[in-house]
Amino acid sequence: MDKKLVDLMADLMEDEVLALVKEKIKQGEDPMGILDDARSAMEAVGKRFESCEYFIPDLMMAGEILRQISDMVRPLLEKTTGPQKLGKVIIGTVAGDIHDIGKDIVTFMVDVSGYEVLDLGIDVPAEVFVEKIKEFQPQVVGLSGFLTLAFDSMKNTVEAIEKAGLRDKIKIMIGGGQMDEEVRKYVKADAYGKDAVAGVELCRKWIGARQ
Amino acid sequence: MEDQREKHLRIVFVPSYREGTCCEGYTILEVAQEAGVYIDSACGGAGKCGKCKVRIVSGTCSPPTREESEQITSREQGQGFRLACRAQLQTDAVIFIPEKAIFKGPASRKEFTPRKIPIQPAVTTHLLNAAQPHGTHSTPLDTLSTFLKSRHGLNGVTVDPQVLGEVAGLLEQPGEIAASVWMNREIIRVQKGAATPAYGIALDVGTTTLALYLCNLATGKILTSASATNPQTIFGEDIMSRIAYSVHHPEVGVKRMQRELVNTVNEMIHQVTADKRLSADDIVDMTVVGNTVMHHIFLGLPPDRLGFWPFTPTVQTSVNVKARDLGIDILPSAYVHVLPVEAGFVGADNVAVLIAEEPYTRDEISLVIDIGTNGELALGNKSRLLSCSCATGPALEGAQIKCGMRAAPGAIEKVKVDPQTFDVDYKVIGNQAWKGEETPGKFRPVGICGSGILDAIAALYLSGVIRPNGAFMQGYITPRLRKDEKGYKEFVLARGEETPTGRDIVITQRDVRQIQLAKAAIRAGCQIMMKLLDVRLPDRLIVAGAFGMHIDRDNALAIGLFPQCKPETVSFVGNAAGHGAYLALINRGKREEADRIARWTEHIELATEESFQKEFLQALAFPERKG
Repeated sequence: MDKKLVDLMADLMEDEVLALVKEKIKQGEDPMGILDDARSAMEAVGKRFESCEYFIPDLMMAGEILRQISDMVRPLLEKTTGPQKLGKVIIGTVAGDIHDIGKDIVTFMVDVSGYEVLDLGIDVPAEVFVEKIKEFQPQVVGLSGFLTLAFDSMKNTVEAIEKAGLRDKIKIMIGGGQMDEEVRKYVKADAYGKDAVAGVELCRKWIGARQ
Repeated sequence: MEDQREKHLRIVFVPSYREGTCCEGYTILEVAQEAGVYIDSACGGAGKCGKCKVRIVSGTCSPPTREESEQITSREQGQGFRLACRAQLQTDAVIFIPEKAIFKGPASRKEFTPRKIPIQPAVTTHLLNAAQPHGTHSTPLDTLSTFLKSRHGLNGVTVDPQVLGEVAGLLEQPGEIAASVWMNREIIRVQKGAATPAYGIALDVGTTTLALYLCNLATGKILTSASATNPQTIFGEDIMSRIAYSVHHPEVGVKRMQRELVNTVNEMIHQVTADKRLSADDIVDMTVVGNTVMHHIFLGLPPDRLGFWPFTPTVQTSVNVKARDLGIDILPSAYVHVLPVEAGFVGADNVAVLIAEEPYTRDEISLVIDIGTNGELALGNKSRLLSCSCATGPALEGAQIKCGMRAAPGAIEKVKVDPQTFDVDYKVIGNQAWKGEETPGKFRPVGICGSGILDAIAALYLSGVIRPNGAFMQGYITPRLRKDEKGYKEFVLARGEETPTGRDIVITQRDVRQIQLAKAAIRAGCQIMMKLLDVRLPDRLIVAGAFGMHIDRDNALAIGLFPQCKPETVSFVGNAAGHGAYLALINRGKREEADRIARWTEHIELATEESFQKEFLQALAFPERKG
C-alpha cells in the first residue's frame, strides 16, 4: 500500500493524486494495487464523513477523484481480465416521493465504487421496481425516500418484490431523511444506510460476500 | 448517593422531544432537570406552587398525591395533568409540558406592527326600525329584507336559521333592532336597541405555536393577544408526523387533532374575552391562517394526500364555516373565514404573509422569506410572483441539535465569541443581562435555541474557528475547541459549572452541518427563483416569522442564510402571517385579494427543478468573509 497516495486522496488533493497515479502507471505499477489504495483512501474519507469533518461536497469530490482514477486504470485492467464491475445495484426514490439529492449522491458513490448502477429516478411505483429487478437482475436494491410517508411506499415496494418471488434473490437497503432502524423493521428491508458511505459499505458487504 | 440501578425507563418530553432515562420512582421533574428540559418550579419541587403542571400523554405514574388534588382540578386530572414534582414514573412515558400558561398582551412572542388600512369588516351592523305589529302577513325575514334593501341598499339578505327565532321575537316589540350582517348577505346576530360593539378574532395556527389577536371591528384596534403551544405537538413535532398520524389512524386521527386544537383555541378565546370583560357572543367574526396541513386539520379534513407527491390539497379556495360547526366558542352563528392555500406546502399562512407585505403592488423585486420548520419563499413584483417551499428542517428551531432547545427560559439566545481569545459571552432567555455583565441572572443556561445557534456559528466562522466549508479548523487553538469522547469535534459555549445540569453546552461539528443543510435549502430555493425571474439580487428582503424577529441580521448574512443583499434592504416583519389574518379580519377586500393572489402566484416545486441539486450543493458553504 502506498501511504502517500492514500493520504493525498483522503485529503482530497485532486491534482497531486492524479499526477501521482499517472506517474505510477508510467512506471508500470500494478493497476489493481492503485485501485486498492484508492479504495483505502475512500474508507478514510468515509470515516471523516462519518465524524462530520467531511461534508457532502467533500464526499462528492472524493468520488470524483475515484472516478478519474478508475478511468485511468480501467483500460489497463480490461486488457487482462475484461470489464470489471463488482455487481449490479438498482436505486430509486419510492412512489409518492420526489426527492432525489440523496439518491443521486448514493448512485454516484456506488457507481464510482465499481458497481453497475441502474437509477430508476423518482416517484417510482412498486411494479416498476419489480419489472426492472427481473430485467436487470441486481444483487442489491436501494429504496430512497425523504418524506415521512415514504416508508409506507417502501413497505408496499418490498411486499410487491416479495409477491413477485424476487425477495430471496436480492438484498434491500433503504435510506433518506426520516429513515432509521425502526423504519427498516417496518418496511422489512435488509438494512438501513444513513448516508452514501453506508450505502456503499452495504453493497460491498452483500455483493462481496457472494463472490 | 448515586442510584446504582440501571436507568431503563425512557421518558420523552414534548414539544421539545428531548429524552431522559430513569428508574422507577423518579419524579418527572427530576428526570426533566437531568435531561435539561425546563419546567417551571418556583417552589423548588415542594408541591406548593403548582407551576410544574404537566400532562401525561402516555405511561403510568404513582397515584395523585394530596398536593395534586388541591392544585389540579378534577377536569384537568381527567386529562392527565399532574405536578411534575410529585408524579413518580413507573413506566416509559411521554410528557407534555404546556407553554407557561398562555402568553397574553402585547408581549406575545408572535408579534407584528399593525399597519393603517381602511376598516371594512365583513360584519357590519345596521340599525332598523322595523317593528312588526301583531297580525301582519309579512314574515319577519321579509320585513327585515325589505328594510335592509330600502334603507341600507342590501339585496337578498338572508337570516341564519338559528337567529330567525330571535328576529321574530324582537320584531314584535317596538323600538330599534341592531342587525349584524355578514358580507352584506346574512344576518348573524340581532339585538334590541343600539348595537354593542362588534369584536373579531384573528388566529394564526402555527405547527408549534398558536397566536390569537382580539380586535375591535369598528376601530381595527388590537385589544389583546394570546399565544399557546399547538396541542397537536403530542401527535408529532412536525407537519409530516401529523400527516402520518392521520394516515395511520384513519378517520379518528384527524378528528382527535382537530379536537385538541379547537379546545386550546377556545381556552385562548376564553382568556382574552374574560380579560376584556366580553362574552363569546360579542365575537362576531374570525379569520384563520396556517400552513396547508394545519388548515386541513383545523377544518377536520384529513391531510393524508399532502404527505405524498404531488401534495394536492383537498381545498384551495378560502372557506367560510359557521363557528358552531367547528365548535369554536364565539357567536355560534358567526362565520369563521379560513384563508386560501396556494399549494401543498405553501399554505394560508404564506398567503397571509403576501397580503400583509403586498409584493404584488410594487415595481421593485421583493424576496419574502418565512422561516419555520418548512421555509416558504416568494419572489417577484407586480408583474409576476413565484413561490416555493423548502425543507429547512427543525434545526433552526433548535431541534436535532445536540444541546438545542426551543426558545424558552433557560435557552442561550445570543452568543458572542471574542475573535482573539475565543472567550464566549451569551445571553439567556429570561435574564436581562449578558453573562459577561456579572449580575447573576435568574436562569442558568440549559440549552441553546435557534438564534443562539446562528450567532454561535456566525461568530465561530468570522473568527476562523469554522472554515468556509463548515469544518472546524485544524488543531486546537483554544481549550474550548476539543474532541468529545467519540472523537468528534465540538466547541464549548458554556462550561458545566455555568449550567444547572452540570453538563457543558456545546456546538458540535454535526450541529454546524445541520445548519448548513437548513441554510442551503433556503438559499437553493432563492437562487432558483432568482434565476427564473432573471434577478441578480432582490431590491428588498422581507424576513417573516417569529424566528426572524430574534435572529441577528448581520450574523444571518454572514453565514449566508439569505442572498447577499445590502443589510439596509433587509427588514424583519415578525408574524406576518398573523398580520395577514388581522388584515383580512378588519378589511374584507383583503379576503378577495387573498383568493386572487393565491391563484395568481406561480408555485415552483423545487425538488423537480433540474438545477436544484447543483444549487443546493453550492449553497452548503459559507459565503466569503467580509472586511
